Amino acid sequence: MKLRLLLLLLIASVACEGQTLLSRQVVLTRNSGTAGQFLDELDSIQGITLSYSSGVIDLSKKIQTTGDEKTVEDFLKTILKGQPVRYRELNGKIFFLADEPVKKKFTISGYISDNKSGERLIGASLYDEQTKQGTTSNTYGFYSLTLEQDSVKLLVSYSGYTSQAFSIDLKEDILLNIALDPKVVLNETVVVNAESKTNTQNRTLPGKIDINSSLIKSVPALLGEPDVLKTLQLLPGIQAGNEGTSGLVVRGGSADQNLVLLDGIPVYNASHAFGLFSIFNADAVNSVEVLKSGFPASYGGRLSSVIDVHMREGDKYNFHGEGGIGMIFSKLTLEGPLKKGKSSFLISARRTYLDLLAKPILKSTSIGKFDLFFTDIILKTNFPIGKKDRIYFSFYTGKDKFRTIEDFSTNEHTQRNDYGFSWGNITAMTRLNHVYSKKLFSNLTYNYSRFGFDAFTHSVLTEDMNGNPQDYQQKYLSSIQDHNIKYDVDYLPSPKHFIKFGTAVTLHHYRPGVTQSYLKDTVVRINERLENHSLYTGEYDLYAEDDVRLSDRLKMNIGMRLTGFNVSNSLFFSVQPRLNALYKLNDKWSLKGSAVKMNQYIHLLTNSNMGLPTDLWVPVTKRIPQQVSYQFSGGISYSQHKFIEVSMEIYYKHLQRVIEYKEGLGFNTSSNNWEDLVELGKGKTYGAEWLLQKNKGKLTGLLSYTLSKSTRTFDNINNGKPFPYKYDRRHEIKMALVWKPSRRLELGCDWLFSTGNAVSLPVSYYYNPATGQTIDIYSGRNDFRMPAYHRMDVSVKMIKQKRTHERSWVLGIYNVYNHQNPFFIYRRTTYVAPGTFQASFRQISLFPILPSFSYQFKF
Amino acid sequence: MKNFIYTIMIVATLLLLFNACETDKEIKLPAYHPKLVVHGYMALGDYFTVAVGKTLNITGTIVPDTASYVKDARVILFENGIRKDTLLYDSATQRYTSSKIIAITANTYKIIVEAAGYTTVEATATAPSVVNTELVRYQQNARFSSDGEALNDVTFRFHDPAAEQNYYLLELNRQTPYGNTRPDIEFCVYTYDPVIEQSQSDFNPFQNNSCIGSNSILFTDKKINGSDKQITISGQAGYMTEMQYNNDVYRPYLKKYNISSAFYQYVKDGITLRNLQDNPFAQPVTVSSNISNGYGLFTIYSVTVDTLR
Repeated sequence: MKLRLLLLLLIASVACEGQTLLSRQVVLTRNSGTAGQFLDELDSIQGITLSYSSGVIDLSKKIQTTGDEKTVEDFLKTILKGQPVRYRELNGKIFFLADEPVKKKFTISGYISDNKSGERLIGASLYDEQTKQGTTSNTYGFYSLTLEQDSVKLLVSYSGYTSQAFSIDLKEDILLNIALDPKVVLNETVVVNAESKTNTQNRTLPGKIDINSSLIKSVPALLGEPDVLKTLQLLPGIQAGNEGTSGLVVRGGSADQNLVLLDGIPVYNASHAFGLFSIFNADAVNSVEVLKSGFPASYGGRLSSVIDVHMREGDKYNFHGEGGIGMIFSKLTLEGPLKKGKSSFLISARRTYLDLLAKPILKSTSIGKFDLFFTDIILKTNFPIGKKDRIYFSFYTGKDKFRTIEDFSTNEHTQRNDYGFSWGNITAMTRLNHVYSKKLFSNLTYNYSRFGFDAFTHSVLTEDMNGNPQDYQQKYLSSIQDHNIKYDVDYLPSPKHFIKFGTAVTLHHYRPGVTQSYLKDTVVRINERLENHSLYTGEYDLYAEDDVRLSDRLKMNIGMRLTGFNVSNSLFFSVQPRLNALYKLNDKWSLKGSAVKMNQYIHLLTNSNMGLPTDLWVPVTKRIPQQVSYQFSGGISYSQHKFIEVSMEIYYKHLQRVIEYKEGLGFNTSSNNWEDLVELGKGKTYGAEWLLQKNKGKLTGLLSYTLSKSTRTFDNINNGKPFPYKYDRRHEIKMALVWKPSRRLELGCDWLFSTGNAVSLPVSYYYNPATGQTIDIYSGRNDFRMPAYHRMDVSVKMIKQKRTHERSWVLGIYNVYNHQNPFFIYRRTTYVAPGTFQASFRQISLFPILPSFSYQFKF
Repeated sequence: MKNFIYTIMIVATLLLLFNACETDKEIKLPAYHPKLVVHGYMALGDYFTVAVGKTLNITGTIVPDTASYVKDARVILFENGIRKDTLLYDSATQRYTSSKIIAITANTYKIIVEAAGYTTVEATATAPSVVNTELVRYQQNARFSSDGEALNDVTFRFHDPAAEQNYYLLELNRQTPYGNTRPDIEFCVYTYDPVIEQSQSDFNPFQNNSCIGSNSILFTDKKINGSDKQITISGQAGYMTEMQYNNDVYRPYLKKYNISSAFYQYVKDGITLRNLQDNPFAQPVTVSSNISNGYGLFTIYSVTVDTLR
């Protein structure tokens, strides 16, 4: 290493001073002899000094000159011909240096996992301190690092784990499976891993944030239930659509522009209870990766964000579990080895139990059955098939359900009314990891994802007004269903490159609305089934990206995604270039930038913007083609030994072909055609985000400020003038703190402030004398602001280690100072005196101060 | 006791979850400057009559519609660009009326309305032709709705004039003892005919055959221009049965209006506004107007009426 540095120094110096000595013309007395004799003669010439070692040059080698040699350099070339020696002139001397032998390269590869559970660690960092080269583990914990033959000092680190160093004499390819120990000291947990200094692979991507499950479980939560999506709302640039809901608005993009992945499977509705809770059980979550910009080519399909939730795979060594009993939830997660050290399983389930509590009361009423709950179950297992393959299975099902059966009876007749609705997701995945070589890793995956909503009513009457029995049924169903096969390859030819490429084919089946009706009295009067909206579409993806290190300071992620979509004999294409760059100014400061194009082939028909299960996903059509976005972002970040991290990012996003319902609710020109209901327009969103994190110590947390603006423009809305997007919020301040004074106590606090939502309010009104109807007059779309939103939540977690298990009591208060935040504003007319009414604007607030408690255990 | 505990737990949870608070909120609105509102709906052959009102402050004391009328306005009527009349205010009807000018097919009429303290407004309307109904067939209890209600079918046929762009409004209802005013009662009408506009709910924009208000059935000649067209609509039978009152028989009828595009849009907007009035999350409805510098509608229509027996 020192030799190389010296060489560089020599080269630099020579470059500066010129080559006067080497070009000097000389005459030697001999024309044959040994190399030593020739060098001695050269050295004896006035003004020429040679510096060499016999260890470097074979001095006994026989030399015969050609007679063409004129200069010192000509003679040196002849003398040193065939010898692994180079010469350089420096400060009036000629130095002789041994050529470095061409070193062979060898690859260190393997998996990085949690030493306690065997769980594979995603994005763990490996770094050779000698060469300053490194890499990270991929989504399955696999890594590959190719280095020159040398002694290697490998440092392996992962947030929340004790780093390990390995000294390796690298003489051959090495398979090194690394198991890191979780840190024993609780207060060493990294809060948000946005700028991890050693995370060399991922840091190329601006707008990328990794969150581990400890943050999700540490921050205060609504009704004491930790929630993945609500935790994300604490990050800059990510906002809640409406209070209390899990819907996300990322950098001014609408909720349908977020690609939510559950173990890589797209989920179409990621919330329970009309958006109050997300479908992800925090106990089973391993990590969450969020991308707001700088999307690598391996991701696509949505415009504004990727939220990639990885669930745990299960402990390979020990059986254990955790769970909790809360005010409205109970949950249990169990995991353990199927074959110790080789394979594992995980099963996790949650259920609300409001209906179970109500049952004893309802016994005395006419209500025979009452279901009101949501539940979800996750099943996962994985096991090796041979040395190079591992297979993963995962299954998720979640459901929200409401149903009542009510029986009435009179002297004349009896009647049973059965009414209900339900919705939920089902996902399933089979994945085969295959290690082709130490540098080549692949995944073959089959995914299934379905979201469905159904509502029904069934009424049975023993006798209608004509004396006939009557049976009436009506059903409404809507669903979207995906079958997806994809093949992804990670190729790590050298530490300078991390290449990913792959392809995917997805078959979408849309059933946006099916109604069934049935009526029977004396005869079957109606038996309708309208199913003409069932539609199959195909989506095709091809991508390649390279995370390339161009120099010690400059890294880039360059990629391209090609996609196609066919629907009803129409074919759509998209070419999406992706470019991300990182430039390290020094060990602490770095600059980032990105330019990406994204594409989205589906639209969401929603009038509430609340992420309701009745919202409908529809594919693109010729009239309403795909949404496209162009996003440019750049930023600067500072990291002081991962203790304090500060970052600032600016972004500009241009959205094309976004949709919005026409003024008011949809009014269809010809039935069955949703295209007539919507307007096509464009959007513009830009802003700056500042984030300060403290990642170590007893007090950890983050503080962020976002300044942003988001507008939409539609030809036929607001007279074609741009108007603020509903969730345009100029200022947003967020703070989340976790204080762990001891291993037995944990205190959490978060505070959020944001500019109020943009709303349209009437400024005056008039009467239509023909109909008596009151008609409101608006000055423009979304030209008023709701009052600012702010809220503070606190929580206390008391942890006690028992003989057999660890138990925790979690007490929390949501909206601790009981601020009445606006949910919506409406105009209300109130009676004042006979014939006199007053109109005023009224604000509806959802959540006052909400205390909660839960009991949690771990064994 | 057990039930009591359960009750408390459930009520407490429900309260926590759904205890929405409501408070008065001061919203800074732009300064209120009232504008003129003009409504004039003339059938062919009617004397010109318009109502002139003003816009009202959105907050504060609500005034009745009669108090919003502007009584000291000057309403000038032009026919084909020639000043023809100044409409006089009738305090009994609270309308400005012409006693000499009636609407005649193909003529263009303009009104200018001036009033002290208001910006002058104006509007133009062209009188349409009469589109006769060639056939009407009425069949009681012909089918059932998806809710199991009996429906009466009304089938009618007409020839759409080729030379003009036509907008139609249908009114299916039952005669009332109150003469020719638009009926208060509105019931559901269904049709599978694709030319009829279907009012959709957000719940299922794909749903076929949704309920259309019986007084606001709209269609255009966009797809049928210049051709014969037969349409069947089905109304709720219960609202269409003949009714006897003081020895008079009140029968169901079908009115077919040939209206202007401005009127058509105004009715559509009105329906949308009505559908949305209880939805706080819906985007606002900007009701269209053909009154420049003001609000309302000035329009002329032709109408045919067929009693259904």
